[in-house]
Amino acid sequence: MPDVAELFANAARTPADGLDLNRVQRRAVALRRQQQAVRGTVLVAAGLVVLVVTQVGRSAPDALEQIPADKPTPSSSVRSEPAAPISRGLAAPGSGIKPAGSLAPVRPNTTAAGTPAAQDKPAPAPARSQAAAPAAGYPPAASCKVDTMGLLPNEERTCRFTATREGGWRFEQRNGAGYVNRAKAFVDVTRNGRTTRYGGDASGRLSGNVQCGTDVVQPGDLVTVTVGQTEVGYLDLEIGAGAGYRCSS
Amino acid sequence: MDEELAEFCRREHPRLVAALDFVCGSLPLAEDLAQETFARVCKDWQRIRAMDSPIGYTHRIGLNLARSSFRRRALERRVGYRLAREDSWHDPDAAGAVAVRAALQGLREQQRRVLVLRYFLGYSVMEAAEVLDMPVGSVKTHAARGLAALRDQLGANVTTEDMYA
Repeated sequence: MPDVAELFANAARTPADGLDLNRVQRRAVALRRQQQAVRGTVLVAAGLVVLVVTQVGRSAPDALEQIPADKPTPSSSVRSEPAAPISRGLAAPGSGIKPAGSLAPVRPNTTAAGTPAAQDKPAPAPARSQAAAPAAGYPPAASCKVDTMGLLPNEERTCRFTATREGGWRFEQRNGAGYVNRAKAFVDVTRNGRTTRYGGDASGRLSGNVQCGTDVVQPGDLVTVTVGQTEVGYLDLEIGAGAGYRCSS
Repeated sequence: MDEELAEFCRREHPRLVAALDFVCGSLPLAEDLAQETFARVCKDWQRIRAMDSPIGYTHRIGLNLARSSFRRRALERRVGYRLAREDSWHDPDAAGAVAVRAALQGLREQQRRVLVLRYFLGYSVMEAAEVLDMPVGSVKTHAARGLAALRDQLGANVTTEDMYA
């Protein structure tokens, strides 16, 4: 009786013509240009949004408080908040997108070893101050979320906003087999010049079992939400922060 | 083009085309998918060559391209004129080969992908799970069910040396 491997080997069809390497190379160049064009478009769009928002902010400061809250919709197709630009890039050591403004070194909010926690504790609340004006690159918004849809292995996606409402954060893995600890997913919250990271460790990799936090975002906080596809790729992950995000229990 | 990359592409091309032919059931489509796969490998070669398994990653790209139905339909439209070129490939045992390929097309897509990875491309269960981004248990299940279905269609004339390796 034939072995399965034998059946495959005997049934395999191979092309008579070899691979056209010139065509492969031309297509690779086109793909690279496509990728650069997408990045350029996103950066230009983000710049325009910042310009419009700062102009609006100068002429009508009270209008910023009218931004409607956005409810998290984990089952919907992923999109960003209109006011929170999303940028996408390849991760590389030492590179990647860093929040604007002066930052204290990131202090990962990891749990103690051996004590898996279901949720983050809220960050200590400093004395409430007036909500700060939005920083460049952080348009005012109630929340934002990013996911890994369409990301190539090791690519990242980020959204940023200046919080207009209280909120938390939440990470979800919608499908994909394991390897989630190779993914990046974290929320950086900057308040009064000090940044606290939720979800990921210092490198951004998911750590422990913490997948959500309640009441970690306050109005005026500068929030960066980042997700990164694993090096083996193709996990369906989503992380969001701001109003409407919290732990469920 | 980098000589190492060119050598990699030339060496892996026939096997990838054959594997994608098993998955898609169309050799012209498999050829175009393989071309697109190598273009993507070429674009990111400096990163891919440093991976533990550039070949595994290449197969992953190819299988995912094959899975994308939108892309597949677009490619099918483009390659439609090539379907008549029956003399452009090697088909050593037409009758038996046709039976095996027809039996494969009768399987579910996941079963077909697992069987191609395991028994044509020679991946272990763990490696197939990594390439397909699937739990090991699922790979075993799809393989077992796929083989059972293959046996039904080919008249039980099929054995496996080690189904769970």
